[in-house]
Amino acid sequence: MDRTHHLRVLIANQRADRLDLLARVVGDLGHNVIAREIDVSEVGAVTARERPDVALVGLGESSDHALELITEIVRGAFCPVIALLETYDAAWVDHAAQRGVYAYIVDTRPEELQSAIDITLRRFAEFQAIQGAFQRRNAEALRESELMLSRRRQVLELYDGVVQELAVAHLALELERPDESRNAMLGALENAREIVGRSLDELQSEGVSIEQLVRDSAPD
Amino acid sequence: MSNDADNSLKPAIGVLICDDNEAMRALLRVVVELRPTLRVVGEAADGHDAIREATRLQPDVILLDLAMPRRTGLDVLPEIREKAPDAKIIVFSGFSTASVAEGAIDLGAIRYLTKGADPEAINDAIEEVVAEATPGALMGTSARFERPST
Repeated sequence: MDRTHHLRVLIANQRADRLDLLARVVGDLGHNVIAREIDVSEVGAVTARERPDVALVGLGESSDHALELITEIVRGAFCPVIALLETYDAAWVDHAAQRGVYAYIVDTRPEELQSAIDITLRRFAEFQAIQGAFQRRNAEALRESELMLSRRRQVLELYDGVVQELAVAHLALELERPDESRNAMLGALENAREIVGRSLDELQSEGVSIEQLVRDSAPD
Repeated sequence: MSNDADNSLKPAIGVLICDDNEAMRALLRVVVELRPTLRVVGEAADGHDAIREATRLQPDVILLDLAMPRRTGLDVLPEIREKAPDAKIIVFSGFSTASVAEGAIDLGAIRYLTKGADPEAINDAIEEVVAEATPGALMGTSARFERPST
Protein backbone atom coordinates (compact mmCIF):
# COMPACT_ATOMS: atom_id res chain seq x y z
CA MET A 1 0.00 0.00 0.00
CA ASP A 2 1.29 3.48 -0.86
CA ARG A 3 2.00 5.54 2.20
CA THR A 4 0.23 8.83 2.45
CA HIS A 5 2.33 11.93 3.04
CA HIS A 6 1.78 15.55 3.89
CA LEU A 7 -1.74 15.03 5.12
CA ARG A 8 -3.66 17.80 6.81
CA VAL A 9 -4.47 16.37 10.23
CA LEU A 10 -6.81 17.56 12.96
CA ILE A 11 -5.99 16.24 16.40
CA ALA A 12 -8.36 16.39 19.36
CA ASN A 13 -7.98 15.35 22.96
CA GLN A 14 -9.32 16.60 26.25
CA ARG A 15 -5.76 16.61 27.60
CA ALA A 16 -3.44 19.30 26.26
CA ASP A 17 -0.26 17.35 27.15
CA ARG A 18 -1.41 14.43 24.99
CA LEU A 19 -2.15 16.82 22.15
CA ASP A 20 1.45 18.07 22.24
CA LEU A 21 2.79 14.53 22.19
CA LEU A 22 0.50 13.48 19.34
CA ALA A 23 1.36 16.60 17.33
CA ARG A 24 5.04 15.61 17.48
CA VAL A 25 4.28 12.05 16.32
CA VAL A 26 2.14 13.30 13.45
CA GLY A 27 4.79 15.84 12.45
CA ASP A 28 7.49 13.14 12.50
CA LEU A 29 5.39 11.09 10.06
CA GLY A 30 5.56 14.01 7.60
CA HIS A 31 2.05 15.33 8.08
CA ASN A 32 0.81 18.76 9.03
CA VAL A 33 -1.25 19.34 12.14
CA ILE A 34 -3.66 21.99 10.95
CA ALA A 35 -5.78 22.18 14.09
CA ARG A 36 -5.66 20.90 17.64
CA GLU A 37 -8.85 20.94 19.65
CA ILE A 38 -9.93 20.32 23.21
CA ASP A 39 -13.44 21.78 23.22
CA VAL A 40 -16.39 19.76 21.98
CA SER A 41 -18.26 22.98 21.22
CA GLU A 42 -15.63 24.13 18.72
CA VAL A 43 -14.37 20.98 17.06
CA GLY A 44 -17.26 20.71 14.57
CA ALA A 45 -16.81 24.26 13.29
CA VAL A 46 -13.01 23.84 13.06
CA THR A 47 -13.47 20.62 11.04
CA ALA A 48 -15.93 22.31 8.69
CA ARG A 49 -13.60 25.27 8.21
CA GLU A 50 -10.27 23.46 7.88
CA ARG A 51 -11.48 20.31 6.01
CA PRO A 52 -8.68 18.06 7.31
CA ASP A 53 -7.75 14.83 5.49
CA VAL A 54 -8.06 12.86 8.71
CA ALA A 55 -8.91 13.50 12.38
CA LEU A 56 -7.23 11.75 15.30
CA VAL A 57 -9.19 11.72 18.55
CA GLY A 58 -7.48 10.60 21.76
CA LEU A 59 -9.32 9.16 24.72
CA GLY A 60 -8.57 11.65 27.50
CA GLU A 61 -9.83 11.87 31.06
CA SER A 62 -13.48 11.39 30.15
CA SER A 63 -14.60 8.73 27.70
CA ASP A 64 -17.81 10.68 27.05
CA HIS A 65 -15.81 13.74 26.10
CA ALA A 66 -13.91 11.75 23.46
CA LEU A 67 -17.15 10.29 22.13
CA GLU A 68 -18.64 13.78 21.83
CA LEU A 69 -15.53 14.96 19.99
CA ILE A 70 -15.99 12.09 17.54
CA THR A 71 -19.68 12.89 17.08
CA GLU A 72 -18.97 16.53 16.29
CA ILE A 73 -16.21 15.74 13.79
CA VAL A 74 -18.20 13.00 12.05
CA ARG A 75 -21.35 15.16 11.76
CA GLY A 76 -20.11 17.03 8.65
CA ALA A 77 -18.60 13.87 7.08
CA PHE A 78 -15.63 15.91 5.88
CA CYS A 79 -12.99 13.41 6.99
CA PRO A 80 -12.58 10.03 8.65
CA VAL A 81 -11.86 9.80 12.39
CA ILE A 82 -9.36 7.46 14.04
CA ALA A 83 -9.59 6.91 17.79
CA LEU A 84 -6.39 6.59 19.82
CA LEU A 85 -6.57 4.53 23.02
CA GLU A 86 -4.00 3.82 25.74
CA THR A 87 -5.63 0.53 26.58
CA TYR A 88 -8.27 -1.50 24.80
CA ASP A 89 -11.84 -0.79 25.96
CA ALA A 90 -14.40 -2.89 24.08
CA ALA A 91 -17.46 -0.96 25.29
CA TRP A 92 -15.96 2.39 24.36
CA VAL A 93 -14.83 1.15 20.94
CA ASP A 94 -18.38 -0.07 20.33
CA HIS A 95 -19.81 3.34 21.25
CA ALA A 96 -17.23 5.08 19.09
CA ALA A 97 -18.06 2.82 16.15
CA GLN A 98 -21.73 3.69 16.52
CA ARG A 99 -20.81 7.34 16.32
CA GLY A 100 -18.93 6.83 13.08
CA VAL A 101 -15.28 6.30 13.99
CA TYR A 102 -13.42 4.53 11.16
CA ALA A 103 -10.63 2.84 13.08
CA TYR A 104 -8.93 2.72 16.45
CA ILE A 105 -5.39 1.98 17.56
CA VAL A 106 -4.03 1.16 20.99
CA ASP A 107 -0.65 2.31 22.27
CA THR A 108 0.07 4.73 19.46
CA ARG A 109 3.39 3.93 17.82
CA PRO A 110 4.24 6.01 14.75
CA GLU A 111 4.33 3.10 12.28
CA GLU A 112 1.01 1.76 13.54
CA LEU A 113 -0.53 5.19 13.32
CA GLN A 114 0.65 5.56 9.73
CA SER A 115 -0.82 2.17 8.79
CA ALA A 116 -4.12 3.04 10.44
CA ILE A 117 -4.20 6.33 8.55
CA ASP A 118 -3.46 4.62 5.20
CA ILE A 119 -6.17 2.01 5.63
CA THR A 120 -8.68 4.53 6.93
CA LEU A 121 -8.12 6.92 4.05
CA ARG A 122 -8.56 4.12 1.53
CA ARG A 123 -11.82 2.99 3.19
CA PHE A 124 -13.03 6.57 3.39
CA ALA A 125 -12.30 7.12 -0.31
CA GLU A 126 -14.23 3.93 -1.15
CA PHE A 127 -17.12 5.05 1.04
CA GLN A 128 -17.18 8.42 -0.67
CA ALA A 129 -17.09 6.79 -4.11
CA ILE A 130 -20.06 4.57 -3.20
CA GLN A 131 -21.90 7.50 -1.70
CA GLY A 132 -21.19 9.54 -4.84
CA ALA A 133 -22.51 6.72 -7.03
CA PHE A 134 -25.70 6.56 -4.96
CA GLN A 135 -26.11 10.32 -5.17
CA ARG A 136 -25.62 10.26 -8.94
CA ARG A 137 -28.12 7.43 -9.27
CA ASN A 138 -30.65 9.26 -7.10
CA ALA A 139 -30.13 12.46 -9.09
CA GLU A 140 -30.66 10.53 -12.32
CA ALA A 141 -33.84 8.92 -10.98
CA LEU A 142 -35.09 12.33 -9.87
CA ARG A 143 -34.37 13.81 -13.32
CA GLU A 144 -36.22 10.95 -15.02
CA SER A 145 -39.16 11.33 -12.69
CA GLU A 146 -39.32 15.09 -13.32
CA LEU A 147 -39.13 14.50 -17.08
CA MET A 148 -41.96 11.97 -16.87
CA LEU A 149 -44.04 14.37 -14.81
CA SER A 150 -43.40 17.17 -17.27
CA ARG A 151 -44.44 14.94 -20.21
CA ARG A 152 -47.62 13.91 -18.43
CA ARG A 153 -48.40 17.55 -17.69
CA GLN A 154 -47.89 18.47 -21.36
CA VAL A 155 -50.13 15.64 -22.51
CA LEU A 156 -52.80 16.70 -20.04
CA GLU A 157 -52.56 20.30 -21.20
CA LEU A 158 -52.91 19.24 -24.83
CA TYR A 159 -55.85 16.99 -24.01
CA ASP A 160 -57.51 19.76 -22.04
CA GLY A 161 -56.83 22.11 -24.94
CA VAL A 162 -58.66 19.84 -27.38
CA VAL A 163 -61.65 19.35 -25.08
CA GLN A 164 -61.74 23.03 -24.19
CA GLU A 165 -61.71 24.15 -27.83
CA LEU A 166 -64.33 21.58 -28.81
CA ALA A 167 -66.56 22.71 -25.94
CA VAL A 168 -66.12 26.33 -27.02
CA ALA A 169 -66.93 25.34 -30.62
CA HIS A 170 -70.05 23.54 -29.47
CA LEU A 171 -71.29 26.40 -27.30
CA ALA A 172 -70.54 28.95 -30.01
CA LEU A 173 -72.48 26.86 -32.50
CA GLU A 174 -75.41 26.60 -30.10
CA LEU A 175 -75.32 30.37 -29.70
CA GLU A 176 -75.22 30.79 -33.47
CA ARG A 177 -71.74 32.23 -33.59
CA PRO A 178 -70.23 30.32 -36.51
CA ASP A 179 -66.98 32.27 -36.73
CA GLU A 180 -66.11 31.63 -33.07
CA SER A 181 -67.11 28.00 -33.49
CA ARG A 182 -64.88 27.64 -36.55
CA ASN A 183 -61.88 29.24 -34.81
CA ALA A 184 -62.30 26.96 -31.81
CA MET A 185 -62.53 23.91 -34.07
CA LEU A 186 -59.28 24.94 -35.75
CA GLY A 187 -57.68 25.33 -32.30
CA ALA A 188 -58.88 21.86 -31.33
CA LEU A 189 -57.51 20.47 -34.58
CA GLU A 190 -54.12 22.05 -33.90
CA ASN A 191 -53.98 20.56 -30.40
CA ALA A 192 -55.09 17.18 -31.72
CA ARG A 193 -52.35 17.28 -34.36
CA GLU A 194 -49.81 18.03 -31.64
CA ILE A 195 -50.99 15.04 -29.60
CA VAL A 196 -50.83 12.73 -32.59
CA GLY A 197 -47.43 14.14 -33.55
CA ARG A 198 -46.05 13.41 -30.10
CA SER A 199 -47.44 9.90 -30.10
CA LEU A 200 -45.81 9.29 -33.49
CA ASP A 201 -42.51 10.68 -32.22
CA GLU A 202 -42.64 8.31 -29.26
CA LEU A 203 -43.40 5.35 -31.51
CA GLN A 204 -40.53 6.32 -33.80
CA SER A 205 -38.19 6.60 -30.83
CA GLU A 206 -39.20 3.01 -30.00
CA GLY A 207 -38.18 1.97 -33.52
CA VAL A 208 -41.60 1.91 -35.21
CA SER A 209 -41.46 3.62 -38.60
CA ILE A 210 -44.21 5.84 -39.95
CA GLU A 211 -44.32 3.72 -43.13
CA GLN A 212 -45.00 0.63 -41.04
CA LEU A 213 -47.75 2.43 -39.11
CA VAL A 214 -49.39 3.59 -42.35
CA ARG A 215 -49.24 0.04 -43.77
CA ASP A 216 -50.65 -1.42 -40.52
CA SER A 217 -53.53 1.04 -40.45
CA ALA A 218 -54.48 0.57 -44.12
CA PRO A 219 -57.76 -1.28 -44.66
CA ASP A 220 -57.50 -4.79 -46.12
CA MET B 1 -89.22 25.32 -13.17
CA SER B 2 -90.83 28.43 -11.68
CA ASN B 3 -93.21 30.55 -13.67
CA ASP B 4 -92.49 34.12 -14.80
CA ALA B 5 -94.56 35.77 -12.05
CA ASP B 6 -92.57 33.96 -9.37
CA ASN B 7 -89.29 34.78 -11.09
CA SER B 8 -90.00 38.51 -11.15
CA LEU B 9 -90.15 38.52 -7.35
CA LYS B 10 -86.87 36.73 -6.84
CA PRO B 11 -83.42 38.29 -7.15
CA ALA B 12 -81.43 36.82 -9.99
CA ILE B 13 -79.09 33.98 -9.14
CA GLY B 14 -75.53 35.35 -9.10
CA VAL B 15 -73.04 33.19 -10.98
CA LEU B 16 -69.23 33.33 -10.81
CA ILE B 17 -67.51 31.81 -13.86
CA CYS B 18 -64.05 30.32 -13.25
CA ASP B 19 -62.26 29.11 -16.38
CA ASP B 20 -58.82 29.83 -17.79
CA ASN B 21 -60.09 29.89 -21.36
CA GLU B 22 -61.19 33.41 -22.20
CA ALA B 23 -63.47 32.33 -25.07
CA MET B 24 -65.16 29.81 -22.78
CA ARG B 25 -65.75 32.47 -20.12
CA ALA B 26 -67.21 34.85 -22.70
CA LEU B 27 -69.55 32.19 -24.09
CA LEU B 28 -70.62 31.00 -20.64
CA ARG B 29 -71.48 34.60 -19.80
CA VAL B 30 -73.69 34.77 -22.88
CA VAL B 31 -75.25 31.39 -22.04
CA VAL B 32 -75.99 32.32 -18.42
CA GLU B 33 -77.43 35.70 -19.32
CA LEU B 34 -79.80 34.12 -21.83
CA ARG B 35 -81.95 33.32 -18.82
CA PRO B 36 -83.36 36.38 -17.00
CA THR B 37 -83.28 34.56 -13.65
CA LEU B 38 -79.51 34.32 -13.81
CA ARG B 39 -76.76 36.91 -13.91
CA VAL B 40 -72.99 36.70 -14.07
CA VAL B 41 -71.45 38.50 -11.09
CA GLY B 42 -67.82 37.86 -11.93
CA GLU B 43 -65.15 35.87 -13.71
CA ALA B 44 -61.88 34.22 -12.67
CA ALA B 45 -59.11 32.89 -14.90
CA ASP B 46 -57.17 30.73 -12.42
CA GLY B 47 -57.41 29.08 -9.02
CA HIS B 48 -56.13 32.07 -7.06
CA ASP B 49 -58.59 34.41 -8.76
CA ALA B 50 -61.38 31.92 -8.14
CA ILE B 51 -60.80 32.01 -4.36
CA ARG B 52 -60.45 35.78 -4.33
CA GLU B 53 -63.56 36.44 -6.38
CA ALA B 54 -65.65 33.84 -4.55
CA THR B 55 -64.68 35.45 -1.23
CA ARG B 56 -65.36 38.96 -2.48
CA LEU B 57 -68.57 38.35 -4.42
CA GLN B 58 -70.21 35.55 -2.37
CA PRO B 59 -72.04 34.28 -5.48
CA ASP B 60 -74.97 31.89 -5.36
CA VAL B 61 -73.36 29.52 -7.83
CA ILE B 62 -69.80 28.99 -8.99
CA LEU B 63 -69.06 27.35 -12.33
CA LEU B 64 -65.60 25.92 -11.71
CA ASP B 65 -63.20 24.53 -14.31
CA LEU B 66 -60.70 21.97 -13.01
CA ALA B 67 -57.65 22.38 -15.25
CA MET B 68 -56.68 25.93 -14.43
CA PRO B 69 -53.20 27.45 -14.01
CA ARG B 70 -51.54 28.34 -10.70
CA ARG B 71 -53.99 26.24 -8.67
CA THR B 72 -56.38 23.71 -10.13
CA GLY B 73 -60.09 23.62 -9.45
CA LEU B 74 -59.62 20.54 -7.28
CA ASP B 75 -56.94 22.34 -5.25
CA VAL B 76 -59.12 25.35 -4.53
CA LEU B 77 -62.48 23.64 -4.05
CA PRO B 78 -62.18 23.16 -0.26
CA GLU B 79 -60.95 26.72 0.24
CA ILE B 80 -63.76 28.17 -1.85
CA ARG B 81 -66.26 26.16 0.22
CA GLU B 82 -64.73 27.67 3.33
CA LYS B 83 -64.59 31.25 2.04
CA ALA B 84 -67.99 31.23 0.30
CA PRO B 85 -69.98 28.67 2.31
CA ASP B 86 -73.34 29.50 0.73
CA ALA B 87 -72.14 29.20 -2.85
CA LYS B 88 -73.14 26.06 -4.74
CA ILE B 89 -70.20 24.80 -6.75
CA ILE B 90 -70.79 23.22 -10.14
CA VAL B 91 -67.65 21.75 -11.62
CA PHE B 92 -67.61 22.31 -15.36
CA SER B 93 -64.77 20.27 -16.74
CA GLY B 94 -63.41 18.54 -19.80
CA PHE B 95 -62.58 15.41 -17.84
CA SER B 96 -65.36 12.90 -18.17
CA THR B 97 -63.94 10.13 -15.99
CA ALA B 98 -66.09 9.19 -13.04
CA SER B 99 -63.17 9.18 -10.61
CA VAL B 100 -62.46 12.85 -11.29
CA ALA B 101 -66.13 13.69 -10.83
CA GLU B 102 -66.30 11.68 -7.61
CA GLY B 103 -63.18 13.42 -6.36
CA ALA B 104 -64.70 16.83 -7.04
CA ILE B 105 -67.96 15.88 -5.33
CA ASP B 106 -66.06 14.49 -2.33
CA LEU B 107 -64.35 17.88 -2.06
CA GLY B 108 -67.68 19.69 -1.93
CA ALA B 109 -68.91 20.25 -5.47
CA ILE B 110 -72.68 19.85 -5.78
CA ARG B 111 -72.81 19.01 -9.46
CA TYR B 112 -70.30 17.86 -12.09
CA LEU B 113 -71.00 18.86 -15.67
CA THR B 114 -68.69 17.83 -18.46
CA LYS B 115 -67.83 20.37 -21.11
CA GLY B 116 -69.95 19.90 -24.16
CA ALA B 117 -73.16 20.35 -22.18
CA ASP B 118 -75.87 22.35 -23.98
CA PRO B 119 -76.64 25.91 -22.85
CA GLU B 120 -80.01 24.76 -21.53
CA ALA B 121 -78.41 21.99 -19.49
CA ILE B 122 -75.92 24.43 -17.98
CA ASN B 123 -78.61 26.91 -16.97
CA ASP B 124 -80.92 24.18 -15.70
CA ALA B 125 -78.12 22.85 -13.51
CA ILE B 126 -77.52 26.33 -12.08
CA GLU B 127 -81.17 26.81 -11.22
CA GLU B 128 -81.55 23.29 -9.87
CA VAL B 129 -78.67 23.46 -7.41
CA VAL B 130 -80.08 26.69 -5.98
CA ALA B 131 -83.64 25.31 -5.85
CA GLU B 132 -82.45 22.13 -4.15
CA ALA B 133 -80.78 24.16 -1.43
CA THR B 134 -83.78 26.45 -0.85
CA PRO B 135 -86.00 25.52 2.15
CA GLY B 136 -89.39 24.39 0.95
CA ALA B 137 -88.11 23.44 -2.45
CA LEU B 138 -89.04 20.11 -3.93
CA MET B 139 -86.76 17.34 -2.80
CA GLY B 140 -84.01 17.24 -5.35
CA THR B 141 -81.01 15.11 -6.05
CA SER B 142 -77.85 16.00 -4.24
CA ALA B 143 -74.42 15.67 -5.80
CA ARG B 144 -74.62 14.55 -9.41
CA PHE B 145 -72.33 13.76 -12.28
CA GLU B 146 -73.79 14.55 -15.66
CA ARG B 147 -72.22 13.82 -19.00
CA PRO B 148 -73.45 15.89 -21.93
CA SER B 149 -76.20 14.28 -23.94
CA THR B 150 -75.02 13.07 -27.31
